[in-house]
Amino acid sequence: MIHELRDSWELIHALCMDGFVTSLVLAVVAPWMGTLLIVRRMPFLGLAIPQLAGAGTALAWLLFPVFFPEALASQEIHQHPSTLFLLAGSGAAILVGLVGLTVMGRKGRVASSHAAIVYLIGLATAEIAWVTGPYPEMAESSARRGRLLTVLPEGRNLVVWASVAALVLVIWLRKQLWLSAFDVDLARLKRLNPSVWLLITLLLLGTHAALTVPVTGPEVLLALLLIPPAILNRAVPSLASYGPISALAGLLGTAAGFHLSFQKDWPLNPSVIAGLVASSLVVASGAGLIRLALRLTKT
Amino acid sequence: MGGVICRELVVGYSGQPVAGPVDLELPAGRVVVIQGPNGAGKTTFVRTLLGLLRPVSGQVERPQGTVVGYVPQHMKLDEEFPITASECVAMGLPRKTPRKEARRRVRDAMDRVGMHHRRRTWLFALSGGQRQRVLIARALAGDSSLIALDEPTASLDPRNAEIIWEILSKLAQEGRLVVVITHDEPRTTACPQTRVRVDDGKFLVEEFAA
Repeated sequence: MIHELRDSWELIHALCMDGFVTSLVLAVVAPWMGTLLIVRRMPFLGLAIPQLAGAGTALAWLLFPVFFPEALASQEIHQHPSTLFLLAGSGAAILVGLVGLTVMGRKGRVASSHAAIVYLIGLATAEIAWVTGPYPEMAESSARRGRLLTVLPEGRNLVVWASVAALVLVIWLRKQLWLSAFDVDLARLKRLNPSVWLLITLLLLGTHAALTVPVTGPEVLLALLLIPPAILNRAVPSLASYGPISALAGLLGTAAGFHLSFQKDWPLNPSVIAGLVASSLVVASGAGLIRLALRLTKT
Repeated sequence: MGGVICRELVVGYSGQPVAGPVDLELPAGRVVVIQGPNGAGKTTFVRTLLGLLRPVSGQVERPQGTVVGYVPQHMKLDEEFPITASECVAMGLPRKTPRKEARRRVRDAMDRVGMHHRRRTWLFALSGGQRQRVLIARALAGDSSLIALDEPTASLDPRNAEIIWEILSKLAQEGRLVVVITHDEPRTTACPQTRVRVDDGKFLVEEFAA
């Protein structure tokens, strides 16, 4: 076991250290943010938001030669759009999608059906953009799987800073975010407009996704946003512990996913998903056992 | 403390009147019981008193600084929400309450409704009566001078309903205005009461001494 872990670590260290660090940071922050979607009973947004960012990124790749025709004219077919151009694409798609969802939202909630439609539109747009764009060879890997194995230091730094900033905001605003999700009337009496706080929640998640998806692809973010918080929803002992415990499950699951991928030679994203499901179930069982032990000690 | 005066008040939704007009003075230190058939406008009236809805016409006057507490029906809350009893009570605290003060107020409020020993329990693992007491503690943590409750004894057994009425009487005796929407007969005579019957768009008001 120790040897296997050491082998995995050496391979990760040699091949994709930046991707590994990026994934671990995302593994802490994304499940923590995903708890906001689960407490609002809007899990479909966890699918729609990363997919929107993915569609925006794909459109940015498609439109890159239109805005910068000299890249194609000079036969530099593999010249990549700048990070700023990709971020603008994902940000624009997120903005359009979220404004639409907020307008359609009622009583501080977004309907699952609306989020599902936005997810499907995002998925279809991304697929068409990749296939019709000038880089069809990238379609499969970029549209769905992302590029965790080839993250560059520039991308790693972007994800780290975006994630740290998002986490600080989520912790700082947690009371308002929770209250507006739990009891709309009490929120109003405390002068918190539920629609405004829905928009703030969506903007936090959307901005984070817009900044990270061009680097990592949508699939990993989608899995991290949903799997740990959804599995742990009924197992956590309190609201205050929901974020940290989901983050712990995300961290363990992602590390396990990398290990599985390098040991078994499985593709990375499915390995991370398997790791997340397993770690969330283990953490949920652990939390349940601790609660049971505490109850037995009391009686 | 928080008395309320209604002047030619007409309540309703989106400009459509449901009930009124009514002139009403609800002084602090009493229980106001709102009764009437379903759809008569009881909840609309109470939400207008609290400021959650705008009057169709007329006015609701509350003294400046009135702190309003609202206790919804416990069945209307999201039963998947991972929240403990004490975290729910803490949501009633005024914003920016210092941490030490917050802890003290939550403890005091839960003590008053006899729920401090269940503070770490998941809210939805509690019985209906206990949940209702936690929601009352939430209004107390905010030091509300006007507390409105939407059918607090619905789906409770007689013993638990009695406990809730005892708590509400005590709150009124402390000088708070307690407004209760209920289909039940009030089980308290310990404090002055006003009974408001809303039916067919009209208000019928009766006053009872303690």
